[in-house]
Amino acid sequence: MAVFVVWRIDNPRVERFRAAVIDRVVPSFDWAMAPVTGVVHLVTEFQSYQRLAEQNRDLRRELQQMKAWKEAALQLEQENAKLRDLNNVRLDPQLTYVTGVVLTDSGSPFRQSVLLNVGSRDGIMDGWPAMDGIGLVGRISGLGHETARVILLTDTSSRIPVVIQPSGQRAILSGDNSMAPPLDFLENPDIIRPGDRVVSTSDGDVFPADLLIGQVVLGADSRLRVRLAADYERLEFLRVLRSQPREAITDTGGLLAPDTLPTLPPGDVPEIAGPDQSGGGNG
Amino acid sequence: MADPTSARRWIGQVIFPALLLGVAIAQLLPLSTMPVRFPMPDLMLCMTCLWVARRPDLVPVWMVAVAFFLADIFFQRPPGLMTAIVVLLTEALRRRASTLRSLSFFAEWTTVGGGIVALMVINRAILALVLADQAPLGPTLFQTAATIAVYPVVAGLTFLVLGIGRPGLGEVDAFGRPL
Repeated sequence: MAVFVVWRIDNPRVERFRAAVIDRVVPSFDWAMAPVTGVVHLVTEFQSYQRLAEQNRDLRRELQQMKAWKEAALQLEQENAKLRDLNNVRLDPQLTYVTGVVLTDSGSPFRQSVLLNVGSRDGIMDGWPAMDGIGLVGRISGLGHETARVILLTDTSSRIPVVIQPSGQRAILSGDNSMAPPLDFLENPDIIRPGDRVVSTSDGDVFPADLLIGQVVLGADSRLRVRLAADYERLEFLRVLRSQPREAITDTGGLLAPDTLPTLPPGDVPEIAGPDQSGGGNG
Repeated sequence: MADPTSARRWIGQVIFPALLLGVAIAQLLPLSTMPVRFPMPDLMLCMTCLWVARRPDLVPVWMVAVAFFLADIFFQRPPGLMTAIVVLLTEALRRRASTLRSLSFFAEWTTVGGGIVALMVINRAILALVLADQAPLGPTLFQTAATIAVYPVVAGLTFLVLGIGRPGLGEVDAFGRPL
């Protein structure tokens, strides 16, 4: 009970303690948990082996279509590269990622989070976004030395800023423990249609912009919800994007002046403005 | 160890934490990361109530406290709160254990069920009192009901597999005291 009171008063410290305990204990149970998880996955996959021939045929057909698409994509990519070259565009080279394996889930039906096997040892920092191969999954919240907790977009305490393409409206995606989190604070819901793409924005410096999140769907309660692009059925490997904070422009720009003024001849007016008074100029 | 009674007691004391650990690990396995509509019953709570009501000598209070404190930490619950309430509940059950033994199973079930309901209510009340964030109400109610409903099943399995039932009237522990 005392711990609970301390938790309520000094939350970050106790949460750090929690992360430290989990960091110490969970990796040591990995030998027991990994085989069990593997076996259960094997059993569920075995059921799909029964439809193997049928699936194979479908996949072949799909593959043929994909080859055509791939050809088109390659041509577009080359064209894109050429155009970029012409425009001298420089892509952000800092958006690299660290891939981690999911160790455990939250263990409680009321919390949606997973624990990854990468942590501050691997340079992970709190607040970085985590994706599976396709879409955004969540963000890092709680960091140990070799583990990190990813709070999923479906968790009740998850709120992230998004923008809806193509209308360009901004909204907040707020998790509510259901498969399709609703969109809050929409300015004009009328111009949004089911099927519109939802991507992240860099509003509030929380996330890097333009990470795919999902598609708008109309929920059964006639609220606009987002069907997430990431495959939440099977989160095994997550990539954590290194998102550096962007450089902020704080002042309005200084006066363009040489660092040192040319030495004045003696006897001239002494109250001339030095170069250190350049802030807030009209540049 | 030569004495069969003390051997059984020792085994009982080892089996209980092992079972709780197994349940906790099973819940932590990342099998499905989808939100569920109908949460599973809280097996740890159910088993602890069962053992305390039937064989309080096998479940010392510190064991309950340690197990649930670790569970609080692992399951992202507010640390310590659930532990405190569970310890209160098990101590109340422990005091009634000798009475419960002479009553019918139905009476035992309703007592434990009432305890579990009270636990959930107190938990939510304290969380509301300190303005902490709460789990949604619907799934919580469902989980409470499921935990109570699964109690006879757990009781039956514990009796059939481990042979741990309600002690008979004349049974004594290793020191010859009545259980």
